[in-house]
Amino acid sequence: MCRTGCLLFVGILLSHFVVAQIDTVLQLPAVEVAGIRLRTLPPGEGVETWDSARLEMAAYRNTAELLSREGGVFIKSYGIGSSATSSIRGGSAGQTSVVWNGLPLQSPMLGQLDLSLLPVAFVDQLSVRYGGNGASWGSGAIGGVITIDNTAKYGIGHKVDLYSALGSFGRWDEQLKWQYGNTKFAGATRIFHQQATNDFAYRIRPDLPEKRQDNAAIRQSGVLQELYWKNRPNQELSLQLWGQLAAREIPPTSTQSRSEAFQKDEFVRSAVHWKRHGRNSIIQARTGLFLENMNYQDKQIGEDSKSHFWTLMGELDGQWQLKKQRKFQLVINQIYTRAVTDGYQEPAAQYRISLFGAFQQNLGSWKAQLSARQELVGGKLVALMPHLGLEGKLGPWLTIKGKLARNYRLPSLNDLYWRPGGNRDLLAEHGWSKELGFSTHWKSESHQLTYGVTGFSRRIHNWILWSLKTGDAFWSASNIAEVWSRGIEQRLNYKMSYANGCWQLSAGYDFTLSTNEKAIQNPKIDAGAQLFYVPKHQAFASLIWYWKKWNLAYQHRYTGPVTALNDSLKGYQVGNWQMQYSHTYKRYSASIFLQIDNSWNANYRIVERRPMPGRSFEVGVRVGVRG
Amino acid sequence: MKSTITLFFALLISVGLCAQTTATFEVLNPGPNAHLNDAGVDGGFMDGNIFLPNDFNDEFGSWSGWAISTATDNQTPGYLNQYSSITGRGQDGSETYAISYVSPQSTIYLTGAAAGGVVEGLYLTNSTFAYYSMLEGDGFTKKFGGETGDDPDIFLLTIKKYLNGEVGTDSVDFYLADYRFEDNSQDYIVNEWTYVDLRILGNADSLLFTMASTDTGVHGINTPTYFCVDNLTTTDMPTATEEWSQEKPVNLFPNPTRDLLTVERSDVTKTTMSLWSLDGQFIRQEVWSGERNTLDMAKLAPGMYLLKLNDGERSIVRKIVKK
Repeated sequence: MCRTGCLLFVGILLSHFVVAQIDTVLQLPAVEVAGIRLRTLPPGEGVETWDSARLEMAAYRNTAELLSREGGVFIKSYGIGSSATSSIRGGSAGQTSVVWNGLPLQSPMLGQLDLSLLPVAFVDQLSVRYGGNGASWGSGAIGGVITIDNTAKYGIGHKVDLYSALGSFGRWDEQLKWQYGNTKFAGATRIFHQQATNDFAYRIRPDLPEKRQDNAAIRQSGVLQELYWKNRPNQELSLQLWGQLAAREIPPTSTQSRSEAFQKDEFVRSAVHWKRHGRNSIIQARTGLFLENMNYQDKQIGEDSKSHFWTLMGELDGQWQLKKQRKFQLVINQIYTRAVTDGYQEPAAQYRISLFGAFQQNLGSWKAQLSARQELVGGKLVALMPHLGLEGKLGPWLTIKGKLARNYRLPSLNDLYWRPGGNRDLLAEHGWSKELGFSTHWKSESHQLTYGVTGFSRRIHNWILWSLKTGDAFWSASNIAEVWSRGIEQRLNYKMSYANGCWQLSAGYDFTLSTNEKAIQNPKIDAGAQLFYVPKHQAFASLIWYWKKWNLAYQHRYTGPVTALNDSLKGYQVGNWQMQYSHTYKRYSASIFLQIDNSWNANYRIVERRPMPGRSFEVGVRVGVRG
Repeated sequence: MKSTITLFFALLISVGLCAQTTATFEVLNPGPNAHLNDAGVDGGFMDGNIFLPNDFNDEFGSWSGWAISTATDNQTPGYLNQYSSITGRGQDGSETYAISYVSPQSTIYLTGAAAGGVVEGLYLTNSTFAYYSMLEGDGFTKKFGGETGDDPDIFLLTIKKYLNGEVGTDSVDFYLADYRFEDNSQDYIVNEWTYVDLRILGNADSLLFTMASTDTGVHGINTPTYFCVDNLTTTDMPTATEEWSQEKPVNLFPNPTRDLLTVERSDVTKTTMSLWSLDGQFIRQEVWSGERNTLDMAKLAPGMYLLKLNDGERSIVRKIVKK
């Protein structure tokens, strides 16, 4: 299987070089990398996007910190800088697919990604695509998809920005971003370093003595190198190389006296992407090689656990504009992964190949798309994943969107091979999702208003849980649960512009029921019970005031109560302030900011027995030069 | 202590002179600072007149039931130190003791002369793993007393008996940890061998051990369900049974089996057969005679079972694997 996979992979690589060689020189205008986007932006999809300007305000944060403040993703964070995973529309952490420049980032061993290891500084555009889209993105795209992309800045000349910030609990951030580009070449070098002692104080009860978080220091450093080359007006070759090291102490819980646990994550991710625009087509090939290590140590109990995996991915993508109103896309994707850990009897390997096809028909303001994915995993076919999306205008201000999709998540390598408890007979989680939404948009000279409401429903069968079965002395994985997730999401965006600035309001409210449909003995889950760590209610709002060189932002978020594994956690509200002043003089620019997190000093917990810090401050400065 | 010590004391005036046997586990000593797990086809460990079932998973190295240990590390918390007692040795300074991982219950069978007799008592203490889990907490379990120190936590071992296939109504509760005191300074976690009198249970074929903790979640008990036993004293029945003689062996085949198990004996004495699951659940009882009998196991779930034969004079326990 491995040999076949490697041969196919080489075949794809060869095929795209062959395409490059036989290409005739087409004098097409330089096209911005957008594509026909049947896969990345099918009709009916609800997308929330953070562009570079919006990301700039959160440049010091990691993606988990950003999404825990803005948008409808619930971030299950164990603390500042600690492990953080996502839940979208009531899905599990493994049911969010995270895609970097078209390549999936989830660990094949865990089936999920720690979003705290994803610095915002390394992202040019971040999008959250709500709802399942297994056809486009494959395994894991059940609750939603987070895409992070880097974009070339051709013609920018040279632009260097240096960031430095200091904050409470020993937080120190340093960043360098050097972007360069002429008409043919572009590149960016980004370096970041972040550290914090995280030794914040907290109280269990007002009458009890203050406690201080211990063994909680973090240190992360990383570099991302991007190179883009337009060797012809209609062709681009790009390379991204991303290396990162994170060393994090794991603090004791509030019911633990001490902890000496420590985790080290290190990875190198590389990607090569070639793209050619034809008159009515786009041909792309991309390949990626990821190497990742994780080391968990706990001197207190004598544990030293290491794991390592590498993943090689290849994809060939063709998109055609058949007629003015018809588009077609075909993608063949291969992934080979190999993982080694003491927890497996022998190294585990997995080869996957999938074919994605999509057809879009436009009719006036209406768009309809039918797409499907067929995946072969280790020689076995996964069920066909169809997807039907529809979008159109019902009037000048009213748009309707809907989609019907079948989605899936393959068992992770740990689910399959971990000893004890891994189960090689596990089936993929799968199920249908459907959603329907309306949005209205109103615009005048100085006002813009958008309001949208979406209802969704999704049933997932063969949900994988680890549990202690009767008669067993160890936990094991099995397809025992069936989960029905449904809810309503509302989004409101308002912008009021005036001579020297504007007001911008973004707000949202999500109601999510995500219930187990079958009673389970272990873990003890009643039929109809809400999933652990899935809040029924989430509301968020951010108000930004831009005035001349100043901006002032306030974010407020309410997260409803959740059921945890041992107790229930109360709902909480957290508010954050940010103030920034920017000034530009000729080629030089500078800005200074002050951030107040948890400004109302809320005593809250996202994960049980894991206290979160109270009010904290961060002050930072950016200096830039352009030439 | 050296090897198994058999004591013959005069007691039980009401029923006449009955001998006692104390299982010290010294005959099973696996060597210094070591443990004995994976009992193989024997299905457990025999000392004195007791049989301690062991369910060891060769594929994963996981286990439940009983192991025999001389582990001395009573300082290191965590599951990697799961075989040691918190005292670091057996009762009265001996080297060897038994340790049980209860999932969901553990059993000790009385055999030979002790089958159907009274169990005098035994010494109990915490395992190092459970002790530090309750004292300090870990990433999964809570420190007893909780965040405030006031949580009324308990870690409770309950002992019951089986006799003639019926579970007894009486039970003996032993608190391996008790944090229910108004005065928190009185809260305790057992860290020395403590004698527990079991005579209240009366005559027994087997002892059943279950555990309860206030630290529970959706996955059940978070506290590691381990405890340690030493110097368990049984009383011989007035009409004593013996261990089945090696000269007159009992053959079981095929074992493992999917449906019918054949049991061959070298004599035709009327014998009571009782079948138990490895975690102590009584399944059924039959009276056999003749050299060859069959046991229909087709309807039982796959797993390990214990077959106990008792002809009134002798008894034997054998492990059966149902595929």
